[in-house]
Amino acid sequence: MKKKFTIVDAAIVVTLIILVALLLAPVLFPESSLQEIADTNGDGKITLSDYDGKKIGSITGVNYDLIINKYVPGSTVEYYSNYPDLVVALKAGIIDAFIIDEPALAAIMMEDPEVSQVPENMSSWLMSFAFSEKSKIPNLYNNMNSFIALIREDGVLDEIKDIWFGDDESKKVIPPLDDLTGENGTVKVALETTYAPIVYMKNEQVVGYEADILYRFCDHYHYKLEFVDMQYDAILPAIATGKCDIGASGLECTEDHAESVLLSTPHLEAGTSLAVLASDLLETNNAPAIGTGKSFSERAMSSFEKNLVTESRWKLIIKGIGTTCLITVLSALFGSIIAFGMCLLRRCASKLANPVLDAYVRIIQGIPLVILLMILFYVIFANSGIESVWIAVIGFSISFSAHAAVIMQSGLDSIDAGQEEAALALGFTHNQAFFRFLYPQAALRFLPVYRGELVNLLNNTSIVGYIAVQDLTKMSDIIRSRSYEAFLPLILSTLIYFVLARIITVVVDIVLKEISPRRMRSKGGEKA
Amino acid sequence: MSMIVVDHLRKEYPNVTPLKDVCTEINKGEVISIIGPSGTGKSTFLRCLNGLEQPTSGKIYVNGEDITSKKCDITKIRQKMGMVFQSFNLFSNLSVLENVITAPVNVLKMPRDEAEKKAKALLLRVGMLEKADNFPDELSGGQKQRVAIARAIAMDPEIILFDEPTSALDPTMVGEVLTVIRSLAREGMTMIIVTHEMRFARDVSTRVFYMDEGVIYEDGSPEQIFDDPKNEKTMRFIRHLKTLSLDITTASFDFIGMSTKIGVFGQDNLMTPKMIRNLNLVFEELTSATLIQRPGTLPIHFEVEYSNADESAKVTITYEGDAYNPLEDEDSLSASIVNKLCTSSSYSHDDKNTIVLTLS
Repeated sequence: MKKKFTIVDAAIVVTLIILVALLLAPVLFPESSLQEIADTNGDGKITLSDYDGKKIGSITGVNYDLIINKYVPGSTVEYYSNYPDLVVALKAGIIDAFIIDEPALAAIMMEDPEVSQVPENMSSWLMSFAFSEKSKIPNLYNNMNSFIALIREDGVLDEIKDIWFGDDESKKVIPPLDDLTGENGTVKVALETTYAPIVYMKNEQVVGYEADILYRFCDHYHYKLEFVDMQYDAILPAIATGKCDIGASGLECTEDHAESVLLSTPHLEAGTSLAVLASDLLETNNAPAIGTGKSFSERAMSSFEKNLVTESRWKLIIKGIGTTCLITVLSALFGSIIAFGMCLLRRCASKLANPVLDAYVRIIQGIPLVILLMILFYVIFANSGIESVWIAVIGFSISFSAHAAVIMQSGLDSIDAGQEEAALALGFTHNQAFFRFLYPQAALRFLPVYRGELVNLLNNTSIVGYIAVQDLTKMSDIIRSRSYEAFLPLILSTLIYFVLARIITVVVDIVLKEISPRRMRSKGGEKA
Repeated sequence: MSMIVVDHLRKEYPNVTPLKDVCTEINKGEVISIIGPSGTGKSTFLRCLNGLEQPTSGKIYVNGEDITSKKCDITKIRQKMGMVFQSFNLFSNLSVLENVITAPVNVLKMPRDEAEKKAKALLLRVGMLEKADNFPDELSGGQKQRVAIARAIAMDPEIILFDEPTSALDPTMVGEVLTVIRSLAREGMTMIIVTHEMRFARDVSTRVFYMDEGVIYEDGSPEQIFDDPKNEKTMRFIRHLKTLSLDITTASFDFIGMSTKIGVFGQDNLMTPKMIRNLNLVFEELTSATLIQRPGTLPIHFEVEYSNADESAKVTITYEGDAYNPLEDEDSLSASIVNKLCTSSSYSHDDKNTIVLTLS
């Protein structure tokens, strides 16, 4: 089976090259157009006041507005959903600085020498855990408050701080969660794992300052511990709806939050800093710029090392691919079965079926996928205990079924009614006529469109991070959170999605070839 | 016992009632042609016989079994009752051979080898063996219909229903399909054929139904129906089957175009070349050669009514103006030509001039 190089293939190659070139640009030209930060007040060094009126990044979910208004008034605030994105945005010159708590900034600076800190402190804020009022575990909230009081008293809290905010990597470990006995039930903790050193991924395990406290807490009270990774701004809704019992990853102890959830006694007073580019600070001090003199290949090698090799991060990618494939394949399967069932219903059911099915299709097609997933996750299956991967499969199956049903039905509608009459007249039953003649003929017509819908499904699964599923996209986010680089993780996931899409296309094409009438036979010279 | 008994069959749709009250009996070995104007329920009647349409009321018994009853296994009945459609309806995803063997293999559970052997013999008989491995979209209309007939026979039916088997065909392909049906008739196959091919109906049938107004208006032998119809409606249908009307409104009318229409009309109705030539001559001599030359005759209406049954044509020409009969003009060459061609002629004048001619 020889395949010729067609115009389509050429177009794909050209598109890929352009894509790679676009993504390469910031690596090849790292000194891109940054907005110049100048020492405006003339005191000889860069201070907070030099960032007045600039673009400041902030994370969604922590209310830094008051602090920004107080220290850098007049600046525009842009919101990002995690710290790695803020670092990337800072380095790309999209923002001039971002606001962050001191422990997190220290961790970033340790990994990434290009990021530095304006040496002035701003107001600090209190970090707590959030608790659900709907939690099924009795006394969880009170237990945590007494536990925090206890470890504060006996110095364990300071010990934990020293471990996670210190330099010694070897101490930064948490025993496996399976070691917990869990006689008193399982505590589900909603968190966002791109927030070193508070909570983050290391060697495929959730670690960090808060993770350590939570582990010791569960150990102390004999709970089992389960981490549920989700988007930062999804944590509080997950707690409010009772989806999870505890919310973590740097939640601020404010009255705003206290309205919807219970907040524990604060366990950390986090200072606030302004993260800026190291070069901005050095320039005024006439110090030589860092990070220069590396060749492209060296940069590429170190990027590869940081993103994939360190802490076996490539395993995250493999896991992510597995999850993405699982959701895609199962949703395609269940969605197609439902769609097929809808076509059968339309054929043989009462007159009531058609308006009901039409309404189903319209409603599902009218809801944005993300919202459909969130409704399933936070409302319908909020307290069901179903794993979020399965909720994703349910959501995508429903969505795919609506699209596939329309595609299949249009294929069936295009078949001439005479085909069925001919089959009936020969003594086939209605069902035989459908399965033997109508559906195979319709499949030939709808499969090319169906193939496109499958690729759509695959690409759409990249939003499952919203409901705490760690798919390929989420895994690349996690890697970005540790390497503070956008290029390699993004280009790698792009390529993987592309390859997966090609596999889908090829498989459907094989099916299409298999079921199409073998026209070659009549031209092959086989004469009867 | 009759093979099929139809008892007060009625079929209603929301807006129209194609079958009002049909009663008849059909026996083994009969070849029945159903003729009649369009929209008088011929196809609906046929489709009720094998349950493709559910009658509104009335009963149909096939070999004594009431097929309108819910208890009846209609698929069993259909296996013994072949059907050939106007639009062929070959299975487009199957090759010619597979089209013929699919029902014997999958419905009758005949072994594949046996079914193939039989199918090839049938395809040879309808002249389509050469195309056994082709797909339907590679065949002409006539070829498709021959395959469809082979597909129906492959089930060894007791009766075959033909629903206007040649109506969707190019005139050049009608013959090949009719030949196949004729050969089936010779072998004694029981058949019901809805058709507009009058000469074929007359030749091949043992019995003819003239259907009109939702009932079997007249039922008899081909000779009875075609030569001596008892009802006025049947007679008009048989005799005035085909008409062609031409209107001449200006002296500079499209003579070539109208002559061509007469030629096409003649070919469509299988007229002899001589008849077509004569009709054209009459048209030319009476219009452009005489009446057009005379002031005040416009508009002229020229109508041909052709009867397949006795192969005669009635030409009616009406025109304005004073009383004037061009055929009485003894000096005119046109008059003598036309008078020679027709077997009878008449002229009248009341409001308009009217000439009626018969050609055969």
